[in-house]
Amino acid sequence: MNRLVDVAAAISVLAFGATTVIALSKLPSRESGRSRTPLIALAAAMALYTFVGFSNVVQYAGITDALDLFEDYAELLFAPLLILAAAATEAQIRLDERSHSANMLQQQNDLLMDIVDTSPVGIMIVAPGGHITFANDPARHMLGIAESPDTGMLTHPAWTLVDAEGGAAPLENLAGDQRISGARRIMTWPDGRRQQFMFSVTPMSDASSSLGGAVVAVEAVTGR
Amino acid sequence: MEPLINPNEVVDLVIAVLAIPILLRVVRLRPHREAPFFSLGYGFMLCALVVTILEGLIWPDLLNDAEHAFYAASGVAFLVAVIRMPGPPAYSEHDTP
Repeated sequence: MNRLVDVAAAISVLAFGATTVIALSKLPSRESGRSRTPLIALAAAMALYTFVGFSNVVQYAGITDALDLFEDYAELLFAPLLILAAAATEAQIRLDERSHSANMLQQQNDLLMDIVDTSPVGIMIVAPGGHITFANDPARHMLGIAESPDTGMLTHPAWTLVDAEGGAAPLENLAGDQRISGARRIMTWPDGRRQQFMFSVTPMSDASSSLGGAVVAVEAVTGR
Repeated sequence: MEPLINPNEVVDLVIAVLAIPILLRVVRLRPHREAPFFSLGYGFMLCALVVTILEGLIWPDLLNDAEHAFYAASGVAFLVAVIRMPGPPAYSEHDTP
């Protein structure tokens, strides 16, 4: 009988056993959406060495050495289970990183939308064909843009735009690949009313965007 | 006659050594306060596997004592590691790892 080995085996059983129980107690709930695999694999690995320690205790106590046969298998499975726990942990970390990035992107998007919605300047996105795909409230108010109840697309009255020289300057001309700053346009409404606007354009068809079209800022200058 | 070196013990050690890079990668990715104790526990486990093999060759009694001491130390280190691990989240969260 070796007292050191007996004590060490007993400590092993208690420590690995407690580790198993604590690991299982920290399992995330199914509703949390987090992977339970890392802790289940870790708990299984710890349970194996609880068994190894227990086998040693009963063997050294002279109770039985029947469990000794299974110790090798338990020891063999330990590292693969830890590898499984590590791989599942890494997958969860990557998932957390992606969720965090998506969350940050959403926050930035919300902030930009707040800025656009608060701006007194009309801001809209004009597709290459001249169709307005987005307009903030000031743009909707100034240009009479409204959402079609049938299609959900943005439409506007049949106004026409001309440049300062009186040449036709339809909206689709603004959605080109030219950056424009402070271009004056005169709008004629269907009822004959005329109104002057200043347009600034930033094209979206650059290397960083595959959307095409342009971001158009519009300000009413009539009456200033 | 019983072989001096048990092949199972060698296989255990080989698998445990092969797992080191995978485990280290996770420790580097998630350097939380429990990580050093997981590393320590695994290190003690590796020591136990090494002396398990060596005890077939030299100082069987001394290395057998060392083997069980390393197992016990490994268990205690793993226990401290799981105690230091954060508890389960109550709901889905998008925290930084």
